[in-house]
Amino acid sequence: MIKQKSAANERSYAKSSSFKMAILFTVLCGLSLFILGYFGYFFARGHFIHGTEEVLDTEIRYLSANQSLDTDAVVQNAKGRLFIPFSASGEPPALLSGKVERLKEGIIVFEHPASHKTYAAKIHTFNNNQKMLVGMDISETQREFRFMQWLSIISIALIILVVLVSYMISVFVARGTNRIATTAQNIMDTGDLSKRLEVSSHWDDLGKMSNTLNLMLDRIEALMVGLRQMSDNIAHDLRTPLTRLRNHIEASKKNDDDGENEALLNEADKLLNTFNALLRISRIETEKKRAHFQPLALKKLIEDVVEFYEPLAEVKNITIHQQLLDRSVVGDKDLLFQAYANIVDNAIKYTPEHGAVSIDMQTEGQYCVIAIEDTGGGIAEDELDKVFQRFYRCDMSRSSSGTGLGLSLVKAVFDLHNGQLALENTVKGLRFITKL
Amino acid sequence: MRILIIEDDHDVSAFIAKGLKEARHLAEIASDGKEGLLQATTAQYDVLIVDRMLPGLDGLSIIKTLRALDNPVPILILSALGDVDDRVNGLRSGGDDYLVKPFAFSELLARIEILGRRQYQQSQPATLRAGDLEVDLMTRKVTRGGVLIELQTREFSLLEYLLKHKNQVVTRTMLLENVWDYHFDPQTNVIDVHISRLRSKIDKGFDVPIIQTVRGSGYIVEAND
Repeated sequence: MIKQKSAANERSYAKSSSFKMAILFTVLCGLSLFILGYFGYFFARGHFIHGTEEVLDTEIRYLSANQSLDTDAVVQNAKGRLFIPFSASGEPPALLSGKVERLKEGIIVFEHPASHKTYAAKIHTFNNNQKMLVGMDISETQREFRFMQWLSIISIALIILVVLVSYMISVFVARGTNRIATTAQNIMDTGDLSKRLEVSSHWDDLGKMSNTLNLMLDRIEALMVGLRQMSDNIAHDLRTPLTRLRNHIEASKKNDDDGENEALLNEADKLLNTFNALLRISRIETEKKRAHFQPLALKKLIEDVVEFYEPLAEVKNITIHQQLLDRSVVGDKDLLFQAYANIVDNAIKYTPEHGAVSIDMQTEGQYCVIAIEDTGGGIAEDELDKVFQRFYRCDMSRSSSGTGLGLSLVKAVFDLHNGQLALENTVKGLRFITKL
Repeated sequence: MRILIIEDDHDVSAFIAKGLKEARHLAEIASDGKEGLLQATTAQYDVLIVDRMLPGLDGLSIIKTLRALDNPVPILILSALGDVDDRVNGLRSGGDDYLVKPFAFSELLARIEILGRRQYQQSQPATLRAGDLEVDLMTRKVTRGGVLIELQTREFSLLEYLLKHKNQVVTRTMLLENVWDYHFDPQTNVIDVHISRLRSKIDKGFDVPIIQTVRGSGYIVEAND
């Protein structure tokens, strides 16, 4: 009972719509940035490599055309070009002894040890078998590339910030709506309309919503109070004339020879019983009063019910078997007694002479399941779920006495206790299963 | 007994007064709360019958005021509100008994007579007697004409209640409220079956029945001692 309730109230942030929205936005934002960044990076890099290669090839072509070039000297012109011939034995120049990276097939990148500038270079073998390193200064481009890298790191950090902020917003919103939902659920469960939602702030939508909901609760409470007053007034205004009617019949009983007044009195009592039962059910249903809830031993309660009805069973030679466990539940003692009394009363009423009624108690997790089974032949399958309706009476029971409200009252009591009821036909009769 | 009825519905109060007079009691009527309180404080009554909803001053306020003034008069509350809560509130405010409208007059009369006598029966004897039946409350032994009778716990309680209110009519509702510790409405008249089972045990082999049925009201144990 309690577990079920807390599970209903528990809404994790992950389930809240604002959190889902935040996730969606983050994913979309990240994805578009990633695609943009990916294309940007590869486009720029391709362009850069292509351009570098073009420049180097032009230089090589120019060198090939001018065979008069002094290949023994290290040539470095003003435009940031680098021409270093290999030694005769084909040894690479000392410049390449440092860290050398490959930019692309045939193009290397290295840092000049003297100027600390970064160069992209190609090694070309000219027609005279002279190997030469032809390079160009890419420091500027490199710096720009580094700047771009920084930019992307910053944008990644921004995305993370967006994720965090949106998570925090969603937590804030979810916590606010959860609080509202929990309070509302609580009000529904307990029927305590005097509770109000907590208004933590007046500037945001949630505060405004709580305020509006509180105004609505005020209105509902006023209506409920009106309704209760009205039903109390009906009780007062209708039962008083009924009292008078009954009193007149009772007063005239003294000269009653043919038993006519006795019959009238019985009819009046029946009418009043129905009226009282109806009022009682609607009070249980609307008020949801749990003020009288207390831990009580279910075993003792059932034993008392059986003890109360046992003489009735004895008259019909019905045996009552009971198998009970020491379990306690939290509930209203009088209402639960009334509910089980109605069930057992029904079971005995519909069981023929020499039949049997069995009461079997079992535990199912934290629930206490009691099955009350009779040998009364059961009822039609299509009537099983109708018996809890007010004034519904099975065909077979129409002739017998009763208000037709007994099982409606049982249902109202179990609803109040968050319990469950089930009815099923067995081979010999009807099985009534209650779960508390 | 001298009884004051504080009730705004004239038909109901007239009916109660008429019935009480027929039962040889003195009945006076007050038709609003203030008048009722004034009468209750200025004159001596054996029992008060107070309606809960009254013009002027409501029934529970009257009772609280009387109790605050240390007035011990037994009070029966009449009300159209029949919830257990209302009953508990009524009794907590100082009422001695609670009867829900509509009621049978016999039920009201039985309760008033028990309330009126309660004042004079402060201590209960350890042994209850009716004719040749003896119930020892200490040892919980029941004998009739010296013969021991075996009774179940509930049967013993039933007999005890009936004997404690000897020579008074005890209604089925009173038995239900006092012998069984639950407030409920038995759909069938199981009380009668309980009584007949008790009867079969204590009257078996004897000519004079101990428990008599009062038609339309309940039961009575009549004894002259």
